[in-house]
This record gives sequence, structure tokens and C-alpha cells, in this order.
Amino acid sequence: MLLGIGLLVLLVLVGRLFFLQVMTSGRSRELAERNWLRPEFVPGPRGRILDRNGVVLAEMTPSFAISIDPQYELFHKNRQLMHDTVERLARLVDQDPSKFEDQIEREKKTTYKPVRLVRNADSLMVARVAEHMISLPGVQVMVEPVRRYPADTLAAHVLGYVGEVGEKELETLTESGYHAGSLIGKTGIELQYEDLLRGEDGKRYVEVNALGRRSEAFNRREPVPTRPGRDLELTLDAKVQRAAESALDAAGYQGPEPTPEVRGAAILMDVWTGEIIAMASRPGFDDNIFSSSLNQDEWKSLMTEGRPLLNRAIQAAYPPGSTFKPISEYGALAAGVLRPGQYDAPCFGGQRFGNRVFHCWKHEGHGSLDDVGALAQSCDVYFYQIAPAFGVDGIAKVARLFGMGEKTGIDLPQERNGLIPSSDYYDERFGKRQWSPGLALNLMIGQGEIQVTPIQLLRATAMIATGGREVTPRLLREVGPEERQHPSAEPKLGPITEDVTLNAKALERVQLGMKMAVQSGTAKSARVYGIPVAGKTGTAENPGYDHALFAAYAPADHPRVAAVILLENRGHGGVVAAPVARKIFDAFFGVPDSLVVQTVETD
Amino acid sequence: MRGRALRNVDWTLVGCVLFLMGMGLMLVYSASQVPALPGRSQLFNRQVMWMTMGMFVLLFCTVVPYRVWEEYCHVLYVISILLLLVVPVIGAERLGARRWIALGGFQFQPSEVAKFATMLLVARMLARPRLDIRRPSVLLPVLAVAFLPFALILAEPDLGTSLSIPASLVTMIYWIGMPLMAIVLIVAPLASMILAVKLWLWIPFLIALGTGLYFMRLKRSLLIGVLLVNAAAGAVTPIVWNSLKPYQQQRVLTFLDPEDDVAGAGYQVIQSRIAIGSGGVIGRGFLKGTQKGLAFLPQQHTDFVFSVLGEEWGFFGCVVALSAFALLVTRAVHLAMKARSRFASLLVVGICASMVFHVAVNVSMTLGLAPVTGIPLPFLSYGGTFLLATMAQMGLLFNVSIRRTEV
Repeated sequence: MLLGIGLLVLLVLVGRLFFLQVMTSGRSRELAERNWLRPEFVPGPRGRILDRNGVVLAEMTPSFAISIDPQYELFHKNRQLMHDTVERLARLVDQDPSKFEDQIEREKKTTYKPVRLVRNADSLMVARVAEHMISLPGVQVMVEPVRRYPADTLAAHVLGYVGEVGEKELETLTESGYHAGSLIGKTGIELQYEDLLRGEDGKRYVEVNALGRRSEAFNRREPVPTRPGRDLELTLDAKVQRAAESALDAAGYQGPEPTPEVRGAAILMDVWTGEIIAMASRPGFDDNIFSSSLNQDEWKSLMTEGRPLLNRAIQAAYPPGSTFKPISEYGALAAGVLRPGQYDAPCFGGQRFGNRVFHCWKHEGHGSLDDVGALAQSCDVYFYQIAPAFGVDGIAKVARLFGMGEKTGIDLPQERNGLIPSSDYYDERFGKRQWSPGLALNLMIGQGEIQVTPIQLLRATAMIATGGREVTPRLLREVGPEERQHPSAEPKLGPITEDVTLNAKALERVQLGMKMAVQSGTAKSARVYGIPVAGKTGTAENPGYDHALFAAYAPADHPRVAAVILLENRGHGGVVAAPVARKIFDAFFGVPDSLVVQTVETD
Repeated sequence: MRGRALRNVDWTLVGCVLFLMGMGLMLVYSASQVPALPGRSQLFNRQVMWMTMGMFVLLFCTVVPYRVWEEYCHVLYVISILLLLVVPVIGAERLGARRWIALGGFQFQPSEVAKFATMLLVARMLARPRLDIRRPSVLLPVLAVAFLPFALILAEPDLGTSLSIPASLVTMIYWIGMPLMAIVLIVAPLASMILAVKLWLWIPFLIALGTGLYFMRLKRSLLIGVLLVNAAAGAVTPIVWNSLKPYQQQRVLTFLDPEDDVAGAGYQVIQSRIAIGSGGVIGRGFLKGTQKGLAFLPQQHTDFVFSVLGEEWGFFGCVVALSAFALLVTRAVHLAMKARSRFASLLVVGICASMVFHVAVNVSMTLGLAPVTGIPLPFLSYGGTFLLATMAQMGLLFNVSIRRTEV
């Protein structure tokens, strides 16, 4: 009887053991592992961005971070010690201690890593902290990789910047391997080629004991290695880019004092391949600032004043002004509205249409000109005279033929469409036939409702240079060696280059007109030593002071590159914009500073 | 005499004891290797010291003839009761209970001495020839002798240890000839008191009791009387319940539903189950348990040492340990049947009952089958007084074993 009871007890115990250890052991082991193994991410290095000659434009570099380890042994025994240390550290790095305390409280819940309090600390700060290390228990100066743009502001708009992935984005991106704290491209190339640049995070397993502290007794789990992202070689040439940027910065100004900061864009592109050799936008910014924490005011100033984050080359649209004339004239020639070598009524400084007088920019008039001369001198009256016959829709059609009013498909995010008004557009806006055909006069000279982005103007200019090769501008030249399989590794390039058949005779006249403009017309200040340039100046009227524009290609006879310069509210294209193009051409062709032709006034 | 004694040694019994002692040393060593709790590392040395002392205690209890023990056990009993009485006054408080008396550098539990002495005294009282246990004049003094230390230990409070006294007592009474039916009738109200904490446990118990007694052909009137007594005992429960310490209430509730209190008392049981379960069939290996090594396992060197065994040695290790206990108890029961002296026989049965009680309750607790009552596992748990008490009992087993032919 007694032994029976004993046997029963034994059976129950062994049965229970069998259930726990043989039948459901896997579940327990999983739970045990969850107790003590915490996966932690090790960021995979992001790929570099290089220019076409291998100059590094963006890379990951080690930087100093100052952090505190809340798990530090002495802190467990003495909480006050940590508060004192944080306070002392905050004073050393000139920060608010309560901000640090909040951050420590927040991060302690999710990670066992030391809490990073100061990112990207400068060497002076590091030296100060290192000097006081003895009175800062638990504080460490760590080295961690940050995104660094060695050339500071150079090509900042093209490169863009990276930031930690936002909480909202995380909801959709967790599947792709992002997690809190991951770097992600926010704008520019960093955003466009995020999938290529991004490194794959590794994983490290951190052992934690029951007291919630790190421990190193059992961890045998192999860490998952990181995989670096791929390097990208851009079509940019850092040397030319730098020249374009300094030329923009040094741009002239004709308006009333005080001289405003430069706002504008300059682009240089290979006319045959669409490779962007330089793309500058002003005002600029230093993309390195996003590697340290920005405060509210700094953000505000980035978002409002002059909007430095805006890439004016592709994200802003302007009336093209006279830089549109080569296209409208080509349209008129090709449509037969204008004959090559045709002289119209001479220009006396204005043209009456209906009950309104349309003025030429040159109030004293140009006298008698043919189609080539009209382009070279940019005579508005000559174009006013063709406009009624060509009409709004004729203009819209030729503008669209040259790819205006639609995205060029450049490999940058947030490109704008611009606007090419047609009669449908005016019908909708003013009512059917409730608008004056006189609108065509303004459109013909690139004024009025027409708005194009500098990159569209550039591509159209390149089409004139190449005789109809409609390229897709691009910035990516080559992708570094493949080290891993990407889900969407194919570069997202726009539609492939297509050849548009242009009227050869009409094209020849326009090319000649543009060449003459630089040789003897409004664009003399764009002359480059030894290299014939063809170009067209523009001075676009707008609610503010005139925008200065210049669209050109060179060499005029065997074109290689095209350039577009845009300067907001700075005056005449020939005076302000054309010299910028000259400097860029100088840099590209390796010509020493070309003789500067002073120009006083142009369109 | 010496030659006969050696011839009569039950080597299986000795082997079991040595094996379990070795296993205990190994487990305490493992349980002391916790990097997170560096203070634990000295536990092993202390346990070695206790084991050494235990060997002397065992030898002493073996060599002094059990008739001498029978003769003087009432002295030991009185001393132990006095000690229990002073514990609330000079005892060291730990976890809300006063169970220890500091003696030199060491602490010892008078409750363990009292258990041992009570067992001896009860055995002596029941060993009188031509005893009719069913007579109240016989039974009541025995119950009183057991009740005094039981109540004092319960008041410490130390529920687990106190319950081992009735466990031995009931078994010894049965051994001496008390009908099973009578024992059931005595024990049932106690069970009613405990189970009445939750109605959904108590009602099925009452139904099972009634049905069982009906098929045992108990008289109708007696059956109703028994059920009424049980109902009354259950009714007392709320009163007793309210007088329990909150942590004791929590332990009972946690036993009834461990998932209910993941952070508190349920944490121990859950972590213990995880530790044992993760051991699998062959275990994680000596010193390789993470539940133990990273201190997730609570009380791993004392009450939950079986979880360390389960984690590091798996199903295999657990079954081996339980088999050693089973073999030990089987041999002891065998000895009890053979012993010519009624006292010796009763003593051995009491020791067996105490052993089975400790093993069953402790292991059930680590497996989540019983509430966390805080009773140690013989041989395997760290703890001085309890080890010495166990060794003393083993000494008495050997004592009876080599003198089994004596009357």
C-alpha cells in the first residue's frame, strides 16, 4: 500500500518530466533563449558615392560619439552617481542635463547598449571629455560610422542626405530590414539609389542575465555579418561641379541694392549620353549637418529662407524667356510659318497687336533682321510678328516635341513637370475662346504662363545641338561590384534615349542663330577661348526682378556638352548668366580663363 | 559485534545515499557558478563542509544504538521545542519569516531538529506493545506531541516544513494498524480547508470524497456526517485565509494559476518549468544551463535545485535522481518490514514518509504541480540544518539496518 502510493507519486513525476522535457522541450528552449539572448543590429556600411574620376563625394567615416552606459557597475549600486555624472557631462558639452536623462530613460527600455548622448562630437569636445574621464564613470567616447560628405557643400542637392528612418516609414519598411535607428536616404541620390547604397545590417546577440545586465558567459551564437552597400560612380565631375558652384556664387547682379544671396541653378550635360557633368543649385547647404542632431530653428531656416534644400535645377520651374526662342523659331521654320532668311518688318522697339503694344527689350529697336539675326540679337518684335500665324498650339506642340512640360526622367527624386499652355489650357482657364490670341506673342518669346525646369531647357538645348537626340539626363554612371543580391538592384533610369526626327534646314538656321548670338550677339560674354559656343540668353520677366537665363552648347560645330544657367532675380541673361556658363565651359574644356567680354545690356 | 554489523550493512542503501550526496555536491557546485551573482561562489565550499559534518552526524546516528535514541528522544524533543519557542524572539528574519537561529558563523533551523525529534518520540509512543491506536486515549497524546512542533513551525511561518510532520505521522499511524478509512476521515477535513480557497476545486473534491466513501460501503449516516464535517472545515477557510500573510495567499493562488502572476511568485514556477523543459532528453550539459547561469532561475541552490538538474542533465538526469530516491525508499520500506523492533520499524517508516513527502512536494513544485511551499530536496538542496537532519535520518536507517535482528 505504502509502496503503491510511492509508485504513483513517482509515475506522476516522471510523466510530468516526460511531458516537459521530451514532448514540449523545444518550446521551453525557445522561451529560455528569449530570456537571455537579445539580438542587436550592427549597421552595414552604406556604399560610397564617387564622381566620374573616383573622387569621393560621400562615404561612411568613423566619428566620435559620447555615450554613457546605464548598465555601468557602479550605477547599479548608486543611482545618484549616474545623475551626477550626466549633469557633469552635460556641463562639459554644453547641453541640457534633463534632455540627456530623458534620452537615457527612453533608450534603456529597448537596448542594452550604452546610450549615445552626443553624435559626431568635434575633437575639442572629445578632448574636454577625455580630460575629465576620471570624474565621469560610465562615460565612453565611442567611434561610430556616420555619413560624411568630404567636400562639404559640393553637389549637396544631387547627393542629398541621409537620416534615421522615421517612425511612420518604419511601418512599411520593417519588412525590408529597416529598424529604428537605421539610416535611410532622404533626398537626392541617397534617396534615389537607396536600395543600392544601403548596407545590409548584421546582427549580434547580446547576452542578458536576470538582473537585466549584459553578460558574457554563454553566448555562442555566431553574429550575422554585415554586408556593405554598393559604391555608386556618378557622372559628375567634381572639378567642373566646383567651378559651376563657385561661378554661381560669384554671379553678377544688376538690380537695386542690397545684393541678394544667389538663388539659381547651373547644369552641364553631355549632349549625346545625357550624363550630367555638373549640377549646382543655390543657395546650397552642407549635407553633413544632418549627421548631427538639428534643432528646431535650424530646420525651420532650412525649410523657409531661400529654401536651400530645393534643387532648383529640377525641382523649380520658371518662364524660359528668350532661351525659348530657338525652339519657337525652329517650330515656325519647320511648320513653314517662317522661311529661312526671311526679313519681316523692321523692329522699332515694339509691335501692336489688337489694342495692345508688345515691347521689344531693346526700346530703340533692332531694325531689319532675318531669322538668324533675330536669334543672335534676340529681337522680340521679329517673334511677335510670327506668333499669330504659328499660334498657341503651334508653340505648345514644338515645346512638347523638345520634351518640355514633362519630367525628363533624370535619376533624382521629386522632379517637376513645368507647364506648357495650349489652347485647351486657356479654354479651361478663361473659358472657351474667352482669351486673346495675343497670348501667343508672349509665349513665342518664352513669357507668359509657360514654365519649364532648367533641366528641361537643358535637354531641349541639347536636342538642338545633336539634331534631335532626346536624351534622358542621368547621374549614375556605374554601380560598384555586386556583393549581394538586392531585391531591386536595377537602377531606376528613365525612358531610354530616343531620336526625334527634326527638320534639318530649320535646325541649321537655329544653330547658326545661337552661334551668332555668342559670336556677335547678346551672348558675347559666353565666349570661350578656342571653343566656339552656341547659346541663347534669356531675361525672364516675373513678379520680382528679372530672372537671368542662358542656354548653350559647345563646341558649336561638334557639340559635346550643353549648359543651362538660371539666376533668380538678378538681371539680364547675357550680363549675369552667360559668364557663369563661360566659367563652366572653361573648366570642362580645360581652357584657362577666357577673355571676358563685357556686356552691358541684353535681353 | 563488529563483524556482524558489517555483514548486515545494506550496501544498496549506502550506495544510494553516497550517490545522492555526490549528485548534491555537483548540483550545488553548478548552482554556485552564476557570474551574475558572484556571492554564490562560496556556497560549494560551505556545502562540502556541511557534507563533512553530515558524515560525522550520520556515523554518530549509526553507531549509537537505536535503543539509546528511543530512550532519550524525549530530551531531544523538549530541547527542540524550547528552541522553536525562542526562534520568534532571537531568530533572524528573512523574507518575512523567522526560521533561523544564528550560531557562531552559521545559522540553523530548529524546525529540522524538531521534525527529527518528533519522529523519534512518536515512534517511541506508538511502539508500546499491545497498543490500540483506535482508542482516543492512545491517539490523542500522539497527536498532541506532533501538533505542538507542527503549530510552532507553521507559525514561523514555514508551511512546507510543518506539513512534513503530519505526513510522517499519518504514515506511522497507518503502519501501526489504523484503518485507512479512519485516516481518510481525519485527513479529509484538512484537505477541505485548503481546497476551499477555490470553490471550483473544493466542490469536485467533496463529490469525489462522497462517491469514494459510498463505494467503500460506509454507513449512510456516517457518510453524511463526514461530508458535514468537511463542509464545516471548508467554511473555516475564509477565516484562516484572512489570517494568512499576503505572500502565503499569493503562493496558494499562484499555484492554482501560475500565469496569473508572471512577475511575482508565478515567475519562479514559470522559469523553473522553462529550465527543466529546455533541458530536453539529455540536458544542456554540466554548467551550461542559461536559466541557472544567468540567474533566471530563482532559489536555484535551495528549493529549485531540481530545476538545475533538469536543465543541465535533462530527462535522463531527473529520472536517475528520482530512481535513486525510489530505490532508497524501497530498500527502507523493506527494512521496516524486516526490523524486529516495533520502534525501529516505525522510525524507518517515518523517515521514508518524510523523504517521500520532501521529494514529491519539492519536485512537484519545480514542475509546476504543487504550490511554491519552500521545502528543500533531500541531499540535493543547499542548506546546512536540513542536510544534517537528512544525514541523521540516514544514520538511523543504517543503525536499524545493522541491528535489524535485535528486538
